[in-house]
Amino acid sequence: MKAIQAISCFVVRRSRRLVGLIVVAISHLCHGHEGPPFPVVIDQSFGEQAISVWADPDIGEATFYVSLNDADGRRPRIPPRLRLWVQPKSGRLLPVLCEAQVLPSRDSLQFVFQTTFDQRDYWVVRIFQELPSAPDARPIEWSFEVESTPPGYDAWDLLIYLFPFAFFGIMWIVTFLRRAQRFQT
Amino acid sequence: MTLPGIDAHSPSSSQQSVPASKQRRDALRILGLSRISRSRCFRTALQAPLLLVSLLMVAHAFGGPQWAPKNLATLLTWVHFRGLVVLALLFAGNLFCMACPFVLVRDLARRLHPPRWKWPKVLRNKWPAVFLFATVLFSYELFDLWSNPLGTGVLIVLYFVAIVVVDISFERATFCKYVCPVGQFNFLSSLLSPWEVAVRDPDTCANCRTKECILGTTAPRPEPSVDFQPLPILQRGCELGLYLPRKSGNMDCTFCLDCAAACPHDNIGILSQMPAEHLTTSGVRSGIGAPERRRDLAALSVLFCFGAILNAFAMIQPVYALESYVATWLHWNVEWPILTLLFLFGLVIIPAVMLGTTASVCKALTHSPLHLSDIVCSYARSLVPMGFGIWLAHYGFHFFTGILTVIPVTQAAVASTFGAAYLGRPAWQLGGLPERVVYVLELGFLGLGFIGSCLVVHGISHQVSQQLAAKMGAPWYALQVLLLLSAWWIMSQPMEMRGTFLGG
Amino acid sequence: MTPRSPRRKRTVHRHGTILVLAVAIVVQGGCQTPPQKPATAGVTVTFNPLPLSVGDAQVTVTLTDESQAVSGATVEVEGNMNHAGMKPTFATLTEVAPGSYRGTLSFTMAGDWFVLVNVVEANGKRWTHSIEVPGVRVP
Repeated sequence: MKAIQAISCFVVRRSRRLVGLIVVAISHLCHGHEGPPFPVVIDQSFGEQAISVWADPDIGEATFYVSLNDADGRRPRIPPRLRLWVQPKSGRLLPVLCEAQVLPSRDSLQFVFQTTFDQRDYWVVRIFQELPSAPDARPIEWSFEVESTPPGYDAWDLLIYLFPFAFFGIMWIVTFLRRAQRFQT
Repeated sequence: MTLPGIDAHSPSSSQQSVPASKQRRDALRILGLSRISRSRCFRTALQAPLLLVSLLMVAHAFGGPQWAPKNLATLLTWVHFRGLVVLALLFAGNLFCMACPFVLVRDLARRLHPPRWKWPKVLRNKWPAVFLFATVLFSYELFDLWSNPLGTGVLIVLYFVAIVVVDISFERATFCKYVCPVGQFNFLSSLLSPWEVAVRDPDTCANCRTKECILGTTAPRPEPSVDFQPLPILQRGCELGLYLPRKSGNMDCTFCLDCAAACPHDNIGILSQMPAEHLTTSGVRSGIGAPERRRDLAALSVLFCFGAILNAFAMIQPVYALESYVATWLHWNVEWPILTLLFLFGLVIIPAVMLGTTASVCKALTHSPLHLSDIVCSYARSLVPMGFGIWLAHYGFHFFTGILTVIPVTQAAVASTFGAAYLGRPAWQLGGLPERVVYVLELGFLGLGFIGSCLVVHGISHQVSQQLAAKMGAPWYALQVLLLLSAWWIMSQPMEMRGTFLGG
Repeated sequence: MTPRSPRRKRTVHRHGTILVLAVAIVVQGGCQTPPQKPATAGVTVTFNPLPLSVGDAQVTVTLTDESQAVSGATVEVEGNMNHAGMKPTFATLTEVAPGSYRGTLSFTMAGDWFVLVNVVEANGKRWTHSIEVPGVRVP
């Protein structure tokens, strides 16, 4: 117990630095997207349709969900051809063009694109729409940027994730024992 | 209750209060809510939105789709409500009881039918709540409430009916203090919260003669007074019988702030506390008595901890294998007797064996003259933090993995109710955090629960005897390790969202 | 106990009336469930491989109406766990034979599932049918 107390006291003495570290760790976690797909745009006008895009840009397998509705909110009767174009913003890799897996749901047309992000970077994403009625016309284009986010955790990531718990646990132990000691004396 | 009576330091009858901190922060003042929290509208403003949400849930339970993931009653009750309650308890305090919609309905009902009776003395303890808490856990498994919108709706309606029936019959906050299983869960958990309702300056209370915080404030008696009818109560005091100057910790406190509103000296706030510290103190306190002597409180603590383990255990594969094995072995083909057996083992026999063994070792090591049940009673409080950690891990799993599902379900409910997607098309791709991330959070919560329990064991042991603290505490630390490992094993299993295997 | 004044009584009654109205509106509004399978329709759902385990499974839906195969329908299946708070999975099926539709559905977690078969018939009639899929296993 004394050893724990000694370590804990050391930790408390360094608490300012540790708070800084926690802030960095939390900002790192917030910065890095580990969660569900997030909306990039909702019901944006895209040609004759409204487009909604969700991104799940994990390093490794990145996924983009695109849903299209007609202006009246219904599923487009004739599915357009959608393609996704990605390239690092820096231009360090050649662009990649992906075809979609089409998932017609009840009231919209959903396209799922899967591509590979090799590392943490900013990526330019463009969506091209070709209308079946005018295949020779210039495709409608819409673009945005996303940052690819780290894949799952390794041992270090695990430590980073558990760090806030460990920090508060140690703070709790130290403060609790100090107060108990003061009370007893 | 002091343990072996070995140490002169051990206080027995007088309350051993928590050391006064030099600087206790006051949440009401920090948030600038000190004045508004004394207003009558404050609590109603918190309750009204929750009442509206409850009504929507009930409506969707009875009229909406009978598929749990698409129904607001099941989703909000078993995913969001439970998750938000435990997180609020962890980071703030008993906020759900503060904003309880059931109490709002009760207050309205009481205006039509004021209560006349007093709750029977024989029931003025936690035993009814222990029984009901266990019943809710049992019903949850038996009726697959997590996958049963109608059942969930019935449960919510029953809750409203129960509080109205109890509280228009019996005076004061009888339902909250003696009946409500959710309230008991919140009371125990809020002992781990960082905030408590407490007096700002004890000296002010020492000079107070009117005690509005517990008696309430009444209209002035007209002069000359001719009748002896009770005067109208303008502001009720603590209906749970907690006299603030002698209140210690959050046990039985609903954070209603009636005491703060009644106090003419503006001397009650929501002050910071050391989480779990009040679990280590002994002696008589207002509204509770001496917790270390109360077997009903000990039973509630044991149920709280082992119920958490059983509830989480019921979500993983081995429980189905176990149930199937028992069913085959006993040639039973209905579920309730098997579930009863499981609960009997999980909530009675296993805790009795574990706690009995631990207390026996403690007794043997310290040569204590006390009866085993007294030792168990004294240390049962140490199970609360570990139990809370397990509830946090379990409810946190559902909450964090499904946090965003409320968006498409609400979108779908609005679309089907009004025939137009006013909130947009249901975005069914929205889910929550990945399981691998949530698993780490679960480990963190379990770790904090374990630390809390060890601190409580340390506190209880050192109160009894400085010299024998290590010997007395050792078996209880070992018990906490065992509980931690069990919970860790459960959380490490692939979670299976399973219904019952036999049905009914 | 507090004596009740007529004014307070009126307030209470007003509150009560508002609450009752609110419940009535909400219940009335909430009573809209998806159209269920017509009585004459037949739905058979089969999975491959069996027993089902976490991962992708081939799902085949056979639609009949008065014993006649229903062709030209749009069939979408939606997998849900029976616990609230889980993200559904979807699959759009393609017609492989008259009245027989096939696709791949992903089971993302072990446990009890139910599958909603959403059908839009060629004549525009929409309906939904629910099938229990208990005991998806850990592979």
